[in-house]
Amino acid sequence: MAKKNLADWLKSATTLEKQINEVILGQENPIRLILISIFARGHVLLEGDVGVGKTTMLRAVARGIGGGYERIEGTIDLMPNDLIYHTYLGDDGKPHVDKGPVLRSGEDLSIFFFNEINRARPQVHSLMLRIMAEKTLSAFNQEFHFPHLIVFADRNQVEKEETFEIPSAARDRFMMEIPIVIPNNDGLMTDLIFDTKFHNADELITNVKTDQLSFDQLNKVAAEIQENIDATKELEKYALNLWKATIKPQDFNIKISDIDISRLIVAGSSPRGISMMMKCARVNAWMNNRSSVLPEDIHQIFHETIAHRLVFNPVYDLRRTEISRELTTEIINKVSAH
Amino acid sequence: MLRFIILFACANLVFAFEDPKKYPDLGEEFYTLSITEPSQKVGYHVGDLVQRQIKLTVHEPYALVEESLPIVGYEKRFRGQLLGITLQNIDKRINKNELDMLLTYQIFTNNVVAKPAFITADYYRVINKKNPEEVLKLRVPELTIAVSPIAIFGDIKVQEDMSDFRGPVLIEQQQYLNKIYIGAAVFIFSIFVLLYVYTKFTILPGFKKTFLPLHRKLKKGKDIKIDEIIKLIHGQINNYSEASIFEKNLEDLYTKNSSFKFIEKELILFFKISNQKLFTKQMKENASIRDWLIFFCFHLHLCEKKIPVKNTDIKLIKI
Repeated sequence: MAKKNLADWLKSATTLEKQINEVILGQENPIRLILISIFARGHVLLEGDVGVGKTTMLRAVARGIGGGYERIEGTIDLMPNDLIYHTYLGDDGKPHVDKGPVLRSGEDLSIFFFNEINRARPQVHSLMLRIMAEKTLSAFNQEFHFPHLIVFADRNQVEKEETFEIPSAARDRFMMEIPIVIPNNDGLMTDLIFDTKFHNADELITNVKTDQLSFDQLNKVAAEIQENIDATKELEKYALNLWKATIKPQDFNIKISDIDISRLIVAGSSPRGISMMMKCARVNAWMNNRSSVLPEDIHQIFHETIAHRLVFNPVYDLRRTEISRELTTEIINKVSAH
Repeated sequence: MLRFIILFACANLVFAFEDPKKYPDLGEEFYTLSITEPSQKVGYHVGDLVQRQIKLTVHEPYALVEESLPIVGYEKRFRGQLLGITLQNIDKRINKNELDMLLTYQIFTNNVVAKPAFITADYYRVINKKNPEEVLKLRVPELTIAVSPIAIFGDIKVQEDMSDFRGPVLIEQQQYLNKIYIGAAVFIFSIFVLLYVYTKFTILPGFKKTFLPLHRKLKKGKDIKIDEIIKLIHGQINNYSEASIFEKNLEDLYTKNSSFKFIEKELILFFKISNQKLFTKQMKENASIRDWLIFFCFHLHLCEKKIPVKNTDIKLIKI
């Protein structure tokens, strides 16, 4: 694919981003990050309270990229087969088997939203993780492929009862964990309360044009982006130092108040994590219309691509959200890029 | 025998109270007398020292009788009354007929009334070496001083000797003068140091050297490449701010030293140059960029020293 095509893709991506930003107020950064993950072909964990617009945002994105959009609610009694099929007695009195949410769209499945994933049991997680990693599923003596699939999962960090926390190995499969918070802007908040167009999500998302990004071409475009966006030796060195800093932050003179930094990290970022970070940084550079990755491109996605992979000492894990933000900020502030 | 002892004792007693004035005076042609008197004449206090330097040369055939010289501890009297002035120390050197003697008296009275507070005249005896029977006297004149600031003797001009700058306790004024000289020298030196510190080109020992040494190094190092210069400047900015500074966290640098805000435009340009050179490789070696980087480094130094950089001094180039 020629660079001109990449430029056209960028134009489409920017248009879609603008349209989604008109539908979802005050979430510019999460929307940019979701688009990055789409062009980097990585799965995303969404973290945020109830009713902040996660589902609407994903439906708007799915509408823009086209393809199948499926959703399932995580519950304690959800079983793996609920993702694949469901059985019922038909009008003819005979048992029927229908495809479940994963299989319903077939190969055209582009976005699968697993709401409150941490309410589902580990066996459901394991099936989902396999689909995420291999993009295949064996069922009915047949192999199903989902080449265009990106999984978005949401977990509620506040409620912990009757939940099954996603283990660190599983978290590592997600490219990003994106925090979605209520916009801290009185004007936007007032609009959300009083502007009636925001009260009907179904109608709201119709403002996003359908199939702007052809979902079945995204894999090719993503590969093109990775090939065409350069990273210099200096940047490679910087990324390497950032990685080292996630493993041994004390070596980089990183300090967090009230934290014994030498005991904080049990495991730093994985090689997969840091390569995903670089993939996202390349996409971010592309979305900023650059042909090379700058340190700023890494900064923009560093927390979201790295924080959820870090394994903290259990003593500090209860304050994970707060500490991981401080840690990633400190790493950016202390590790020199030059 | 007893009578002899009594007579001998009486003879000695008579000799002890012998009036030195009874001897005839030595002719002026037979001696040279020079006396250096203290400059202070009045205002002495208890414990003050008064020094007289006496230089005497007795010519042949006469010789000085050393026993007639003053004795340490001798308390001066006038008409039988103690004066309150004691000879505390004699530092004397005798070389044949030459006598060089420093007499140090100490004041022991604080009587401000016009009691005679002077050092009385001394009479030294000389003997004719050819005719030992001939004993003559030589008069060392009295020194008129006063323990009171009031002139008690007509020959003292108080108005010439009562400066406010002269402290009352002046055992040795030279040490005070020395302190004044040293103080003045230190003051003048510190003024120069202060002026130096506030100039553009200062490096002081212990001064946190950040940008000026780098500026000097870059000016001298013609063969340093642009990417190396950029890295060195980044390194110093990071060292100075104790953080890794990028365009988006320039506020951290301003928090450390708000003077850097004066060159915000230059800082932003620097980061653009840095990104282009280090991370996009789109920039080639360029003399104007190189000169600008050196110039920018000097502005960083000014900001470090909190010397405001004027808007008119801000220089931007196209990249």
